[in-house]
Amino acid sequence: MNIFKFAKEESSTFLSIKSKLLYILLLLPLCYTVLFGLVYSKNVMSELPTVIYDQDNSLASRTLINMFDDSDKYQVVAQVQSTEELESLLKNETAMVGVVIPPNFAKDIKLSLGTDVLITVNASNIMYNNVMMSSCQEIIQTFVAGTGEKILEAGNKLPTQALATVMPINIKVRIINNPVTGYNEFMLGGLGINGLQIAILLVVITALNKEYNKKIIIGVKKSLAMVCGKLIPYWVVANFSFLLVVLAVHNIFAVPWRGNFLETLILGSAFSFLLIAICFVFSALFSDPVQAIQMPLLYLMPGLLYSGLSWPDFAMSSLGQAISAVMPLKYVCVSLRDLLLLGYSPTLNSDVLTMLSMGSFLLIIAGVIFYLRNKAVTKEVSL
Amino acid sequence: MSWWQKFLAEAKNMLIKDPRRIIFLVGASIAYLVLFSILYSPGIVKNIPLVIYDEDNSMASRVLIQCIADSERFKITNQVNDQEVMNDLVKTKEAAVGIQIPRDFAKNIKLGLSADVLIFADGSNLVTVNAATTNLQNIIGTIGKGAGMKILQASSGPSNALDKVNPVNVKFRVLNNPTESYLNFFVIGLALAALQQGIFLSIGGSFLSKLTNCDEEEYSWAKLSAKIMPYFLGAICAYIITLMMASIAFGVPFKASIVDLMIIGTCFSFSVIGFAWLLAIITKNELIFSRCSIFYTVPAFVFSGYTWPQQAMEPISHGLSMVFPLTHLASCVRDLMLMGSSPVVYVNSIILLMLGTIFFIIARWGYKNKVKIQS
Repeated sequence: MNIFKFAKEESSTFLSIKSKLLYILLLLPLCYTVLFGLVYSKNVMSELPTVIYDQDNSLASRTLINMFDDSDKYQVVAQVQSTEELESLLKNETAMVGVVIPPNFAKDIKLSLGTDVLITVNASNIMYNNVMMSSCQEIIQTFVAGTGEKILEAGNKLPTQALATVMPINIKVRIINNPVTGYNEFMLGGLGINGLQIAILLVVITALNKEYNKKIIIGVKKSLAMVCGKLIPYWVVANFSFLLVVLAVHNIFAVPWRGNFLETLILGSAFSFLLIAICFVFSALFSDPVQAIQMPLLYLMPGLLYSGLSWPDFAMSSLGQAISAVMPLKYVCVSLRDLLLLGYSPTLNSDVLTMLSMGSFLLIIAGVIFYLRNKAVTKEVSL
Repeated sequence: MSWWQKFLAEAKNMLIKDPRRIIFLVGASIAYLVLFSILYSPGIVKNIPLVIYDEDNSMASRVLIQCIADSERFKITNQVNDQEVMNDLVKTKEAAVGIQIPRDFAKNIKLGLSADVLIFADGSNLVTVNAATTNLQNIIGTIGKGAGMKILQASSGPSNALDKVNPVNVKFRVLNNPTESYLNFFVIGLALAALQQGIFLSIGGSFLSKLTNCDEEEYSWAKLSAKIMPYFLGAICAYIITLMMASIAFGVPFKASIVDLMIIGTCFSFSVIGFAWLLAIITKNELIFSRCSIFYTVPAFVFSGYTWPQQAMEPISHGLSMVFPLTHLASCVRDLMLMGSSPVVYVNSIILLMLGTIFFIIARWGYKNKVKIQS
């Protein structure tokens, strides 16, 4: 009974227009999602600025250059006449990729002498390197296959035979779940959830410590009932906010949502529950709301990057995995992306169970800490 | 109170009375540096779980599998006998990639008929899929060249066989981060984002706790500079310590000219202090200030162009990113550290100085009004 009384009390302050906390919890995650969706609106990296140093100026070299220029991944921004010029353009970042075609390029191909094409990339930002490495292979393979085939045809081989000799192994790549390798599909859901995490942190962190000012001693049971009661309004609104994020990701930024609505909601709900419980612990620990809000602040970026959203779990060191295990986003980001892109998440059940059990445990801890601190603070004042 | 007395009083506040400020100012970036160095310590994505479906079970297919197994990038978790099982393992994410080697793989190669190898990858994580497909294409391509060469040698003798099969040899030269290490790529920017956060919190604490008892002199430029100077010096110290630690403790290359690094770091500190002060003026109390600075942390990093480059942003995001001081620092410092130079170091320093000046002018005006209203 007490629980609902506390829930009602908390709702009246939390939902009041004056407090503005409701707007923060509802709109901040949405705002994050839209902002980051705009950043990644091009979705894939394309038009890498490319500089060409063609020392051959032959039909073959121009064909290769055209293949780069025709690809949407590259944009030829300059053709230079010396290695120094090329290096200088790469150094001042006018171009991020440089293609050097040697002299006698066409002649050496015709004479079957073999020739080297040098591709230089400025990899200080790995994104450029990743895009170049994956897209360049296709261009080069096509070019090599074409030229090799012609050489062998000239040596009295049939065209199909020649092609099979040049490319005895044909690589077929099939990418499922995110075939366009889009960045929105990859990151946006997780970033939106990070927005929800921040909103919950901002709103919930003052929920318990404001009670210390009342200077009323309450028992353990009542403290636990209060913690549970206070949880309800925040949890309900956080669930709405979570759905808003998912809807925005799906409807505004066209990220597929193949998963079941209920499973998605359960995942978001378990996450909100856990996070509110964590915030309650901090709120109970620090009587000063400023301290309470500042302590978990430094966790924000590590929380996101340790979640496995970008750097995968299996690539982390054991210490990294141990740290990652205590980050709430670990249990939601990848699962949500799976629900959106795959339609199911293989780790959904374990993630939800982990979050609910961690949340329940922390909720009890928050209640106990609140009871002890409240007793100490009130006694201190009465003395 | 003279300038020095004011400076010492504020330094005492920062170091002794409210040590939280110095802890945030210096500790935040160091904590991030250590945390993210642990995360990215493997440097590259290794041990990508891979499943093999070898329908051929021939010498050639086993050579291919051995090459994959020898690569540090992959860890063969399963060898299956059914395509459905392979697909399921990838779909259930027990493996990130599946390789299907078709029946008659070796025979087709010998007969001069092309053999198809299928790479079946889960694309939900781009970091994994990029590393997997690029490396597999390299491995399979190398084996393909060898096989083609043997075919040709068998039919037309050993001369120039490789050059005929592979007439154009592509050599890659990866500048500035040749090992493609995520540690070198990522941690500096993240530590600098934390430094920004540390400056924010310490400045917020300073201005919002002192605002109520200001006198007329408090907002003269001289007095303000005395108040800000301890944080400014603290920020520069934190910046130097962070970069030194990144290089000495975590092996991030340090090719930069110290002068360039100091110029841009100093301008950044100036600019962020101005921004934090402005935010402190706009917000009512330290709690709201902390809320605003939390809201700002992640967008500032994402918009900075540190990972997703600004050239790839649409104009609104690009325009918005220009207001954030971190945009003008993070990528530039990474270039300085990894390349030894940055084409925009001076331009960005000037932009940061200008931004800082604008922030300070507006903040002082707001501060003056706020103090007047309160008194």
